[in-house]
Amino acid sequence: MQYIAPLAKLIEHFRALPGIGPKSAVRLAYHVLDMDAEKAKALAGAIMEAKEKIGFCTTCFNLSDRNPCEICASEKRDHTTICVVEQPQDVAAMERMHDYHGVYHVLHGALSPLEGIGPEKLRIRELLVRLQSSDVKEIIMATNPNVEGEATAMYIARLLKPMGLRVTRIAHGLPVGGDLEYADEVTLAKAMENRVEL
Amino acid sequence: MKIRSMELRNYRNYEALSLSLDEDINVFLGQNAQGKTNVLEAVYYSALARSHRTSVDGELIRWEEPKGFLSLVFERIGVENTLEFHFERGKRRRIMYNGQPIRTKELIGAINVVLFSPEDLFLIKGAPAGRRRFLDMEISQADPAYFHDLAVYTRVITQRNTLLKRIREHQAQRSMLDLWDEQLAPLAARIVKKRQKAVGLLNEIADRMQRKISGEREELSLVYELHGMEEGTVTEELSSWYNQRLRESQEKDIIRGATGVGPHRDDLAFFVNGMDLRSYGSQGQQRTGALALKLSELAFFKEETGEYPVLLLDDVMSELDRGRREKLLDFIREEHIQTLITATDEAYFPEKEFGHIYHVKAGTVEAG
Ligand SMILES: [Zn+2]
Repeated sequence: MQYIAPLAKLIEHFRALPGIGPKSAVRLAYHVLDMDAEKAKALAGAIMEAKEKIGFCTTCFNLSDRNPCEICASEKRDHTTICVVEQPQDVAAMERMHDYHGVYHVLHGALSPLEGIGPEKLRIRELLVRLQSSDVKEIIMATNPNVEGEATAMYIARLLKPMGLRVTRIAHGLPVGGDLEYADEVTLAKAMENRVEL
Repeated sequence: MKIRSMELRNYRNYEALSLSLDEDINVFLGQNAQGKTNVLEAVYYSALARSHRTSVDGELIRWEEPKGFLSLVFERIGVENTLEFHFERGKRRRIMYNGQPIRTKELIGAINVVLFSPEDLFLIKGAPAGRRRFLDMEISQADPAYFHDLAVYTRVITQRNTLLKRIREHQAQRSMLDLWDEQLAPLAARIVKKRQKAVGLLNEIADRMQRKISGEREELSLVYELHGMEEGTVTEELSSWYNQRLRESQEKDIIRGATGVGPHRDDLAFFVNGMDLRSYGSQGQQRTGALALKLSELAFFKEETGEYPVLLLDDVMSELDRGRREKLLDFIREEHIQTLITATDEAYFPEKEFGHIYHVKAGTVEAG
């Protein structure tokens, strides 16, 4: 069946979003048509406002509505520790923990030859520049525990070690609060591999 | 382990099928394309979460139906379990184990199967990839961590190979290789150690089987061939050996755009009375070797898990001569291994020897 032009256009836009299949795109488009004009305007406005007001913090490259971002500007944060993550979502996850008081650096991806992502496509140069003009003591590599995340962590560690910085990697292993007997073999093997001295 | 019953709904060419299985031999007879292999495939799928005939789950759903369903009731160390697969076009399949949703990696190892199909008869004379796959499937079923290591290893190899090509085209720095090599080496070492251990175990059993099938005339030995280590043995730690090798082969690898060392290049060698069966064995010897290997696989699972797996014989009976066929059936009967057999020709299955024969015709199954 052929959709009338404005509807077809709306469906196409939804389809281009991540995680939206053809059926969901149609459902969302019809839902928008069913909305009150006020609500539809509010939705469109929210999209525009987010787009206009949110940009990258030019220090840590996290998303922010101001520059420097709230974290980079805060005097309560420990500016000698930088936690390096792949995506802005990872900063949000770390912040939910309420236990980390250092600052961040968002790379916007991980090394992946398959996707054509080399070091020049990540915010690595910006990290180096940032380190030259600050008294950072520790860099915590919190990239994902997959092969691309490991490669990225290793790459950055090698760049920074000669600068006399302490570079650490977050551990991965057993989930806290879980019973050992219910852990799957892979997680258990990883946890054994990353065991620590007591 | 034994499969008690299975149910298929809108699965392949079955609209609805409920089947109770005998705990010994089950023979599915029928012409081609009537659906007998679909029954075996369903059991295989339940064990490995993938089909041996397609990589597309959608093909498992009956023509023009939106959803398909497959469930098994099986018994393992005396405990009954149910396993369900829900398929829906355009969606990910869902797996339920005793009514609880589970992930694929939690499924691996729940059901163990050994599939014997005509392609297996070419295992010995075929390409090394087939023999590696044989080892990988076998170890994965008994060891989920191995399955995971293999997947990660494959991912790193793919990344490294892409990087090699980019370096060749001057789009990336050669120093970037280290990032992947350092991940590759320990993975390669872990994979190879597990393969060597499995081959050691298989070797003993396979020799016993070969002697039995050949009437004590032939002895069989299996040797794991580590690529790049044609002579002698590795004395240093395997992981550092791989590190060294990967570094040495960087130059060549860049030119080829592929990784020349690692478990993806290794092979499994078969020697009968000291002769390399892959290149010098007669067709008959190669088939005996393949059969001995399959029987060893059964015994391997028994040693690793405490129980025999379910044996699936897909159209393989007509490919074996009378002598080998009888040796195989003797073994199945003596050891009480639950077996599902498909065949087109009734002549191989005299009624009184095979109590449970099913006739398969156009998506229906009737007990004979
Ligand atoms: Zn910032």
